[in-house]
Amino acid sequence: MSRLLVVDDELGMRETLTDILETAGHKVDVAANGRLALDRLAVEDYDVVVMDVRMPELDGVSVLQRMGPPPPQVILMTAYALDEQLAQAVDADAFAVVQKPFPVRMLLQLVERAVVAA
Amino acid sequence: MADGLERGAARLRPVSAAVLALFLVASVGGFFALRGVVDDQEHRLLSERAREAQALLDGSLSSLPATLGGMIAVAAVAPTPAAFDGIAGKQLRPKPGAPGFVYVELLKVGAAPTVVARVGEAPDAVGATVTDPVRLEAIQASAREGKLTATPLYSEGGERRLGLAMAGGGYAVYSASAVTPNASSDGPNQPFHELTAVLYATPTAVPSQIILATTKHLPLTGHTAKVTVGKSIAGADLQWLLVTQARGVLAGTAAHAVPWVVLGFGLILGLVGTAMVEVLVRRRRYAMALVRERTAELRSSLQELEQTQMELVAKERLAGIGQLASAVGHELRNPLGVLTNVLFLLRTKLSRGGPPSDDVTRQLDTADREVTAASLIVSDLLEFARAREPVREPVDLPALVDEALSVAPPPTQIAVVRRPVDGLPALSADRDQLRQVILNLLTNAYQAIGETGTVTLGIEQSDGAVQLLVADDGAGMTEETRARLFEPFFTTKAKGVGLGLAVSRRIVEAHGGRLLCESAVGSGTQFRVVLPMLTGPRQPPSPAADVITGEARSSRAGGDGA
Repeated sequence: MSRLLVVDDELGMRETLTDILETAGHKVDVAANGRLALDRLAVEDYDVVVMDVRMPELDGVSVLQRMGPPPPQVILMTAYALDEQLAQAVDADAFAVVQKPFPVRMLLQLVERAVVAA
Repeated sequence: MADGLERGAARLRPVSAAVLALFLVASVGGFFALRGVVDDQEHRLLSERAREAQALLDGSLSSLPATLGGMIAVAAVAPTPAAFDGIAGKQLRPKPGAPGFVYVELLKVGAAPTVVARVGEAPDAVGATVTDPVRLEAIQASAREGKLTATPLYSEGGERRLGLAMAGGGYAVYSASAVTPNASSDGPNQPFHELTAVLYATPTAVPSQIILATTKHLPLTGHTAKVTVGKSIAGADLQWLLVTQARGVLAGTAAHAVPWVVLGFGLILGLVGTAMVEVLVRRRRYAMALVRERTAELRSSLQELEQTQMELVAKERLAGIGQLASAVGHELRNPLGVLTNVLFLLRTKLSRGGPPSDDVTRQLDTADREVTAASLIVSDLLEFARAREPVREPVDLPALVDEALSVAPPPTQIAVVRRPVDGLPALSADRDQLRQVILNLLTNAYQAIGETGTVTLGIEQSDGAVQLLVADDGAGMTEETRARLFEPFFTTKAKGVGLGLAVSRRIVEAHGGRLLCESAVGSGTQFRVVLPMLTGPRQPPSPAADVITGEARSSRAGGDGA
């Protein structure tokens, strides 16, 4: 059973993603912002992190850059357009970037592949 | 405007021309009027003097003792005989019944003086040369001296001798009257003739003189001063009295100069006045033209300013609306994402005990479709509010079409037909943007069909370009609709904001491609996305066609991680 961390400041998004991913057979923890996510990452090992980009306290890209080794595979979610800056920032480190709203099936497939990659 | 200021520079303004004309008329009129006054004055003075002279003579003669004889001669001279027209015949009539004798004659003066005309008992016949030695001597003497003389010649023995008038040349009127001593006469002596007539008849327009002469027996000497310009000349046995010079009584006086002064002054005043008026008028016109020009400039500047301000306000408002739309759009994406998730969870839950009933499935499909439609509207709005440069990456076009179809599946009664696609060259594009274009074309096609119909999708390659075809067999469009199709906010649908095609075309053109539309009423509509092909090696078809955004990156990320 793979371990997943869902990071989003939106309660609805956290809850529905948790339900979806648990239904798909993963063990899921949640964090409400980037700082809490780093806290979780410090004490737990995760295979895949599904994380929003824009969050209070610490945004997704900053978390991505500060994660210690061994880094998990990260799937970033964004409500914003994928601009050049964001693209470059995540190009090397993120497994994938998806734009909200995304088809759930697509996310599940991405997570499966990320788990394999991890 | 400069033309307007210069025009008519060579011509007088009407008002200054009027001023000039007024002064001209006034000065010329004044000149002639004053000349008339001066002439009248001259005539008045002449007649006064004539009357004075007459009175003087009358008085003198009447005071003469009846027994004393005497003679008076009056002479006038002019260069031509015409100056004396009528004198001899009319105006110098001898007084009938007067004592003594009276005669008037017109003489041509010269070396051999000749009588031209005569009235009364003149010594020489008309046409005769003067032969009387005394008279001839007097004429020749006065010719030598170059001046007019009047010589009354009288013999005290009762013999009539002849008076003589002479000048340096030309013609002379000479009139002489004589009173013979008449012991039998008791009454006063009568005047000899009308001296006034002589004086009046003397021309003023030609050089002439009138000379009154008497014998020394006539006591006129004492009256010399009374006849103003008279001058007595001492002779051998005669007292000469120059009565007057007929011509130019006022010559040399201020009165004579007045008309000329008025004329000259008037002309000068007229010219100066005209020049001043002209200058003033021109200045005023220039100033007015200048004011008009400046006013026009100001007005146009003001208009430009207003225009600019309006544009700025409009731009600012647009920018504000763009920001608002952008913020709202982004905020909507989160709830739309949650909704998608919830719908997925519901579908999963409802499917747990076997497939859900048809109506539940249909309702879930509808909810999915509406969420997709809302997401597309948000994307169009965001793209329109802030046009984004494409972030290019290799894109698998068939996979992208698959994805679009999974996100926006056709309504139940619409079939989607996909033409077979051969291997494709690598296409470099912004995945999200291209997906948005396909979704727009797809949902447009669904809406164009309405209830039942077929959407045909095809991907083709032609020279250097990849073409994506989205065709429907709906009602088609009129020419007018087709012409406005890509305008923002243009829509034929009851709902929708009309941004889909505008944004799609902008995206395609930002990729260096073209978005074309063929349509005719009754034969459906076909959109064609033409994108330039990326030069380079062909990319193998992606194994996981329905995975979107992270596709290309996942391969690389996987490569890095391995």
